[in-house]
Amino acid sequence: MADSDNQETINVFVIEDHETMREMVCRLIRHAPGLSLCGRSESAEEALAQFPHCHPQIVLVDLSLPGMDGLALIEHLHQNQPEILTLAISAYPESVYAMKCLEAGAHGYLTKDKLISVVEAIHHIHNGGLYISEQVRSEINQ
Amino acid sequence: MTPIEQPDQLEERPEEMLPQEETENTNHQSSNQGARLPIVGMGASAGGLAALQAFFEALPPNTGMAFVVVTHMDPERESLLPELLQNHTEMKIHQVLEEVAIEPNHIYVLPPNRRIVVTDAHLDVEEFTEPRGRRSPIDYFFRSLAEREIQDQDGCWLLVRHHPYLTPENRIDGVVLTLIDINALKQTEKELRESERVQAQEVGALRRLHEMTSHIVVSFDMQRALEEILATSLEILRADLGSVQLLDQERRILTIVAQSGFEQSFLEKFREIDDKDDTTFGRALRYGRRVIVEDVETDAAYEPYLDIAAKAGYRAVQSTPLINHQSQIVGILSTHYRQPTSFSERDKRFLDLLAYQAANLIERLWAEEQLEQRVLERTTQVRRLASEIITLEQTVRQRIAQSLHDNLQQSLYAAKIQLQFLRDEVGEKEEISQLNKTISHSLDLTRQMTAELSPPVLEDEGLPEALNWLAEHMHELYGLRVHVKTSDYLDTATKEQRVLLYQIVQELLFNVVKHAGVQEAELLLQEKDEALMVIVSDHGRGFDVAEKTAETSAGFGLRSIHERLQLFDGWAELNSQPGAGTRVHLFLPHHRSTE
Repeated sequence: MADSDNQETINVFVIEDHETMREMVCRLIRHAPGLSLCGRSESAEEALAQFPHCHPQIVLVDLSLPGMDGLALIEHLHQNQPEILTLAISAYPESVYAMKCLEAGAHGYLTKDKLISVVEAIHHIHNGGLYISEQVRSEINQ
Repeated sequence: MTPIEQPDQLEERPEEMLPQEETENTNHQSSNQGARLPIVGMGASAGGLAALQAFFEALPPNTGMAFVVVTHMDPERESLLPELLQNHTEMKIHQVLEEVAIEPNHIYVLPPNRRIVVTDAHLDVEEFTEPRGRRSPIDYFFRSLAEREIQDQDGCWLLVRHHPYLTPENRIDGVVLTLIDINALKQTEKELRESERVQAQEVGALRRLHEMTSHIVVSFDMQRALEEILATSLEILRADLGSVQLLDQERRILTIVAQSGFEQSFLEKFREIDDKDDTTFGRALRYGRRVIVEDVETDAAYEPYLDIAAKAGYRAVQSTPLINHQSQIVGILSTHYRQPTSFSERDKRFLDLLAYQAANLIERLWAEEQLEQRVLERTTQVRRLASEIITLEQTVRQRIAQSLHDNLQQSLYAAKIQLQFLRDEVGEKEEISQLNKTISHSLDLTRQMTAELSPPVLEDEGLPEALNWLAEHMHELYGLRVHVKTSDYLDTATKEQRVLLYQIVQELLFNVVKHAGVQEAELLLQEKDEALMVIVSDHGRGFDVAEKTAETSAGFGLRSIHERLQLFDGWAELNSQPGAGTRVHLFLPHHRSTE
């Protein structure tokens, strides 16, 4: 993109315990213009240790992780580093966890079958939006 | 043959027959004063009727005498006698049918086929002891008039017999009095009566004992049965108060379980007794045999308890140990008496019988209690085993499901993304889109298998999350929209309960998909009255409940659902009608009663 140099690139960090999955998500980020992969980890603890060095702006958090789970990390970041925005990634459908993640402070919820939309989701969040389905949005409004 | 008295003789006799009065003195002079009532006995055979009629015709009605007419006729005419005489006298005529008091100016006649006897101032009728033809009712009656048993001043019994003294001209010239010593006879009679009385009493007691036994052998209520044994004991032993104590086999302590007549302070004082106690309770326990105190005031060992005995109101007491077949004491049966009392062999025999029955009862009920306890323990064991099996099965399902979810499913998602990269490089190709479809299909399969095995969300999260996940899954795979309401759920279910309910709900929703023919179902999860309640309902085809839940109907799984819930003290209720939808209630109590 011609104007990509003018635009600030977004630092994205990926937390995902499944190796192949992690590679794929990272590859999607690396290939996307305007996004920069600043780090990756397979656990929440490892991620927290890296954050001071890589300054992530947006963190993709897989919900099921060994040790500290994704939901706990979202809550922790929301309370201690609110400048870092989180996007929850899960194999579970939205109905189970989306509300919980939003309540914990996540800015979006992406199911893994729609992972292809992850770049769009990151931009949406970066621009101050909540990345959720229409169904969850209507539940919030109620 | 009975000598037939001539009517003219009869008329003259009454003068000599007068002294038939209530008296114990030996003076048999006719003094005719006060209550002394002259009784005139008259005998007649068939031909005597006219004479009797003429006699009464001529007699004034107020002689102050009573007339007893004993006839010797055929039964039919005898029965007519009152009427045949009544026309000839104003005196009242009675046919004696039962014991009557003799009154002056009355005529008494014999009923057919009976003989009449006089005792003191009463007439009574008796059955003949002899066969027809050898009966002598007139002799019999006259003898009863002329003979009398009296007692002299020393209490000796004599039979007095009056006999007219006849001159050769057949005129009465005096009375011959014969006195016979019947003391021995009387004594024997008295003993016989006493023995009859005792025997009647014994029969009554035995009957009572039998009645009691027939009750208690079928009783399952220890308290009531012991109370009945105590009541029977008091009755048979003629005791005023009593108690039954049971022995705690481990602590060797007696406690009162049934009592009669004692006040609170006594019951408090003797609530728990061991074998060091010196009452009859403790002594009977210590020595293992019956202890009798005929009078508490003369029994040295009872001295410390005199106050409490006086307050409770007894002077005598016995305690009989209840001994079972293994010769162990299981309790004590005690009876108390307001007066000093000695115990006969009979009393002791009955006490032994009663104690035997009580010991049997206690042993039987204890054995039944133990059996029940064992059944209960076994039931608990079976339930624990069943619940362990469910848990174990769940662990295996969980492991497979987790592996599907964490590995296979993730790899398939990753593969889909890789396919996207491939598409970016080489452009849209038929093979790529085919591969994409295959991967999507595989993903659906892993999700379906995860749901059927056990969703990881059930392990990680609560029941509402799992049910929501299930609902989503049912919609994605089968197009069934499940409306889940879990707002009244407090999340207190144990892991076993969560798994059980999840699996049952899943089966029920599959049933809706397969049988109901609708695209919507409702799922309600609540906690109510200490129980978890789940309702799964639809407005689909419905079915005949009796048919589907019958023993022979395989495959529907409703019986199995109910049985699995029963293992956790829960139950399922099914309501359905052809064309009116189906509604299944599941109940699962929080606390398992066997734990």
